Amino acid sequence: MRALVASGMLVLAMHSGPAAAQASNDDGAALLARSGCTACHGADGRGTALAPGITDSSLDLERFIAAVRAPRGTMPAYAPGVLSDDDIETIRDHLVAVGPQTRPAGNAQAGGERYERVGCYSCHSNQGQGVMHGPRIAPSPIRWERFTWYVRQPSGQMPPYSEVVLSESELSDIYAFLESRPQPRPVGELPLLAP
Amino acid sequence: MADSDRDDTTSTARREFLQTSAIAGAAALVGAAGTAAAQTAGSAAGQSGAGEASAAADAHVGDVQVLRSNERSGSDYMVDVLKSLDFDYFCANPASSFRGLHESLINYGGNQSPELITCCHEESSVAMAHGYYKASGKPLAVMAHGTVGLQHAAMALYNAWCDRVPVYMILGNHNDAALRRAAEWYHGVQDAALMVRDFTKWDDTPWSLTHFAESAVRAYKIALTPPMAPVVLTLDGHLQEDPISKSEQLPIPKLTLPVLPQGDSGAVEETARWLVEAESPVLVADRYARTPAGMGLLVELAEALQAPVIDQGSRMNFPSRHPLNHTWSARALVAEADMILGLEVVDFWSTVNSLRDQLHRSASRVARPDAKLVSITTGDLYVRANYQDFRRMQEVDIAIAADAEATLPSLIEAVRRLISRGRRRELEARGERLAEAHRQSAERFRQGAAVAWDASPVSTARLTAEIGNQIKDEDWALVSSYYSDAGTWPRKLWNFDKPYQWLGHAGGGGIGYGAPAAVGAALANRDMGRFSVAIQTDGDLMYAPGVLWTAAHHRIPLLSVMNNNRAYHMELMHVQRMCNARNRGIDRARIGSELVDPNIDFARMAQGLGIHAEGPITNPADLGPAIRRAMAVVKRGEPALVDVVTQVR
Repeated sequence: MRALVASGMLVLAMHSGPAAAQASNDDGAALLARSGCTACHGADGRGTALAPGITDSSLDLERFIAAVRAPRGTMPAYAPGVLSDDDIETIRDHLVAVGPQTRPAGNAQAGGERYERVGCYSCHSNQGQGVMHGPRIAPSPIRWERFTWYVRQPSGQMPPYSEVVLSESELSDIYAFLESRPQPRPVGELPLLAP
Repeated sequence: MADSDRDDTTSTARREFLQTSAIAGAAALVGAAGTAAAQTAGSAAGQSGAGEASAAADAHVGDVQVLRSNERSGSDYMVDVLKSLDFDYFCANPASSFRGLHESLINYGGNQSPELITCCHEESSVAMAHGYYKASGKPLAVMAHGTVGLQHAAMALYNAWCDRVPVYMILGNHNDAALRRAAEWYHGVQDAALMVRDFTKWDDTPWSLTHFAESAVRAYKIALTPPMAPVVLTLDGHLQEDPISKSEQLPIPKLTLPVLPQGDSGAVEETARWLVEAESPVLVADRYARTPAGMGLLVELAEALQAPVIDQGSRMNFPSRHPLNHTWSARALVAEADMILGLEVVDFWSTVNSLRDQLHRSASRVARPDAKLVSITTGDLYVRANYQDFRRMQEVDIAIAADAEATLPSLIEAVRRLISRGRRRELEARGERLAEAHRQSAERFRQGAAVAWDASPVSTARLTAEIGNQIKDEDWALVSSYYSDAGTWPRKLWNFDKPYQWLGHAGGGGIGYGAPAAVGAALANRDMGRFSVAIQTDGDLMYAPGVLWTAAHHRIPLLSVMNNNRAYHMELMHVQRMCNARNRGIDRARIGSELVDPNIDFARMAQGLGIHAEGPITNPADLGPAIRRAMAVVKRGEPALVDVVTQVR
């Protein structure tokens, strides 16, 4: 749901009234459009420059509804009078059916070289472990749609990477590199990290 | 030389000449010199037929001039005054403009209390004094040429200024242009302290020894009065070197440090009320803990309120493992807080706001709009104009212009008085929630440290854990604090529970502070029986590595473990930000920021400076044994260095 949280489009609220009246009769795709979600998240829900994709949400229904009702960031809140719980469930089912954006095949070795060459390591450190200047991004990076969206238009202090300086394919290599980092050993197996 | 061997007539004439010319200056030189020449005619050779000035000059050739038994030098008296201020050490790179004082310190003063510390760069001298103060609470004096020495020292003085740390700066200068040797023209200046006046608190150029004594004590008092800062005394060469009579009674003024300003009782009461009534209060401490008592007082206040503490780290403000330490959740806490108390917070604006550093910079408030803000800081008592270290102005609801540590006892008392029995139960419930959140954070830190545990180069978390494991049974102090992530990990993983275990930051962000400040702090810790460890960054050490020789020469025990990431990575990130913003690619961002080709061999460099050193270590499995061997050297009373090639962050 972080995808929704960070997106935020006030314009959504302008569309919400009519949508509410017809919501219960719409299928997911139409409801997505009528509710104004597509204005920011794209016609297929896979994201635009304004907001990340939401087709790969891992939120269960309850948390998905909660995020729509009380989003963080600039996304407007959808009250039950605007979108019922059933409407939101219909939208979510549609997004699940659409499925996440397909990631180009990535090469972890090339990704490791690219990771250093374009400076990801400067903040996230050499193995993606992060700490002060950038969060941990390996060995389990955030979902691909969210990952690509954030790299293109980060909301915080991270410098944006346009397609001019980092192609989709190169980004996929980096993603593969991050996924390939070894899982850390359990803390309990490392005496030096005992509390 | 025995006093009886001397020609009293000649020495007396020379002294009269110096006194006259020093007072009258260049315009009166001819007349004065003529008088002197007449007085010394009997002992000087080859003067007939020459003009008055040349006759005066010739008159000194061949003079035997040493102090008589009933005389001493002006700088001997200066040492008396400086000893009364209880300086432990003077740091200096030698310079002729303070040769008089130098000689008095080592001979008349016996090179004890203060002892002279030989430094290889004036920036190192000042940074050592900076670190020494933060470890001991006592200022050091630094001597330097008024021109070239001060120019070297200026950066470190700026750091001390920004960090509000006292440094007692003594400059040598030859004020009288008529009596300068050739080099002294390059080393002479009309107003030596002018160059650093924007970032020092007070300066003076004494014209007499009595003037010196008063200014010396006054300078100490001003430097040690919060907000503390460096001070400068410029000492004329002749004032140091000219003889004075031993029978002359010169005063040594008594030093009385002022009682510090506490917050207004009404403002303190109102602040206490807000704190007790708040549902989500946050205590933010930055340059707060001025003495060893400061940390304990903040623990008392936090526990009375069961309120979270954000330790911004300019001082050792709060124990790292205390359940109310929520430093690493600062943004979330500030966003939820309905009452925020800032204790000597240097940058309150950035505490409650955020500036986004993108192509178009933007600012947004993090704190709730209805959150009450209160500041207690001596920063409101003293601000200078030119350098902008005062930061952006933050609107607050109550601004208490006072010393925060001195104000805390009355604030704690007021808070305790205002907490009812019922309120106490509510606060205890909040404390339990915070304790659980702290426990979870600590667990996350450990899990985060395990990532890349076996990676090569060595992860900074592994570096920190290896050091922590070896020093945990010592009375240790971390004497480095640099901006790299290796400075973050110790505060997340180690148990900081003593006031001297963390010394804060450089102040002004001037690189080159770390190594000499660590040596200065280690000097203080040596005398207090503490074990000093520094996580030393590579770029910082390359500014003035000669300070390692100072540590070796003076037997200053210090374990330096390199966080050698082979670059100025903070700056690299800025270049990278520009590359991205301009869509030009990042491939060349490293140019100008990396320290490779050749890689610097810090172990060999340190060995050449007389220090036990090992490295470069790239395999994390090799790190523990190397640290163990280095610790054995340090525990024998000597410095040691382990060069570790680390991940960049």
